[in-house]
Amino acid sequence: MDRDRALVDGARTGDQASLVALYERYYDRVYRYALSRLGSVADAEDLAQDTFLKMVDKLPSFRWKGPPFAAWLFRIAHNGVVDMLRRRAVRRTQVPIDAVQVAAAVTDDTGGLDDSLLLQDLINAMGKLTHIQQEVISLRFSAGLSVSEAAHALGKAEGTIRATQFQAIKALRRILIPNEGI
Amino acid sequence: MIGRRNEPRLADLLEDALKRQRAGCDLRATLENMESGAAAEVAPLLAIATQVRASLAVQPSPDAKAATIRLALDRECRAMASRQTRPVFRLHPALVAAGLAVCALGATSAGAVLASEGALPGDALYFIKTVTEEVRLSVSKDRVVRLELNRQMAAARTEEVALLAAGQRPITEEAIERLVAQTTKLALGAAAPDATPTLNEQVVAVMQRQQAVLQEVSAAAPPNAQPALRAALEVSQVSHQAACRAVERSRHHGAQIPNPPTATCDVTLGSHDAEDATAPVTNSLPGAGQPERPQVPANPINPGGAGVEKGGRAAAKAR
Repeated sequence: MDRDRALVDGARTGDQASLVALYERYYDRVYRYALSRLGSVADAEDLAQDTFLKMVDKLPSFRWKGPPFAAWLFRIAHNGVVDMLRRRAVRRTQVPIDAVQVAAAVTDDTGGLDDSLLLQDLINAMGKLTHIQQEVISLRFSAGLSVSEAAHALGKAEGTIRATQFQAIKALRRILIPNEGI
Repeated sequence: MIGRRNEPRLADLLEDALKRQRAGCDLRATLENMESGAAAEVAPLLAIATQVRASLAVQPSPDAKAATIRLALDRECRAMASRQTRPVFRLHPALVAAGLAVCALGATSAGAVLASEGALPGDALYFIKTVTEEVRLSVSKDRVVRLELNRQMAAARTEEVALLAAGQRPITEEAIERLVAQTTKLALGAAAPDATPTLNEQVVAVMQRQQAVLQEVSAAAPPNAQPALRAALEVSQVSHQAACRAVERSRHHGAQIPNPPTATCDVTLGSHDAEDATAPVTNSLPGAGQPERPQVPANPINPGGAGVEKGGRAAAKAR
């Protein structure tokens, strides 16, 4: 948080090194969030770019008394996602994503899934969740926001975020492992 | 079965377990500490959450990333020019255009960047120095250019440690961490198949100098600094061996020798690794002719990961 403050304050005074450092700190997270919500590499890159350009424009109006910087930035990204979904009528299941297989760091064998989960399969499964569940999963697991930050970004209470996260994971388990009901 | 009445409690337990997982705590211990019954319900959800997190950990395309920062810096320049001129008076458009051109040319805050060149870890301007280097690296696509930049950065980190020692300034943890991280990056880059023998030899020279500096610093350092310095030296030695092998490989690759003879690397290692130093470095490695990934310890600063290596619209737009 202190690091964010130093970088944001630096960037607001025109220090480009601070701006670069902010971007280094958040670009990957914004990109992952956008990819998980939009299901398209090109759209995710566009959205990440738009988010950072808007951040530059809006930075002078950012106030430390409001939500944390991460929540503020992801609010911009979230609004961008909503706009993009509305404008382009993106349908995740119709946009093929590169088949990126990431080895899962599962430490417990009670999950019942294979050792890895294809990103495409996950995004398809996420498409079956409610919008708020998708948002919470993306903000928490792609963007790495805390419950408090996700709550600020979505304008919800922390308890709501925790409950939605729980319901979303439960639903994902039902979708990904159909034979094991909870 | 999860009863609806229990859900808020389970949601809190799941969040608590996720937090502990992110903090690196042992999950089995976390689950064992839960009240009976709760662990059995939380564990499968935790497994799903872990997989979701791992699957979403993709890396963006470096091209798109570089394009975005270029546009953001340009936007910032324009915004600053506009903010500075607005309250005073309206500038003639030609003057604004000239200002923007100057701004674009100095898109990396030239003054601060120049001033930061001699900065050492702990100095106020050191941060700018390292960010500038990273930006330079992030906008370079060519693997050989990136290797050369990484070589320069590793040499810089080495000289910083030497200068700190010479100036009798404390050698910070940050200085050693950065040196280790940069050495690791350099060793990984040296495995690139298109690196020239000359460049790989320069990489070896950096590692040699690094080991000499670390040994010198280690000799005068207090006991509590020894573990970090020893670890840095080990990384340097392993990286050095990998770089030596890369030199041999690139020499033979260049000479088009189908079965190159056994050769030694004409570089001596530090005293910690005397056995390895005298051992011949051969080409009888698994998959000779193939780029070998050096077995260096994981980069503690930027471990990287599987990536979507694809230039997208963002990169194309900026081009």
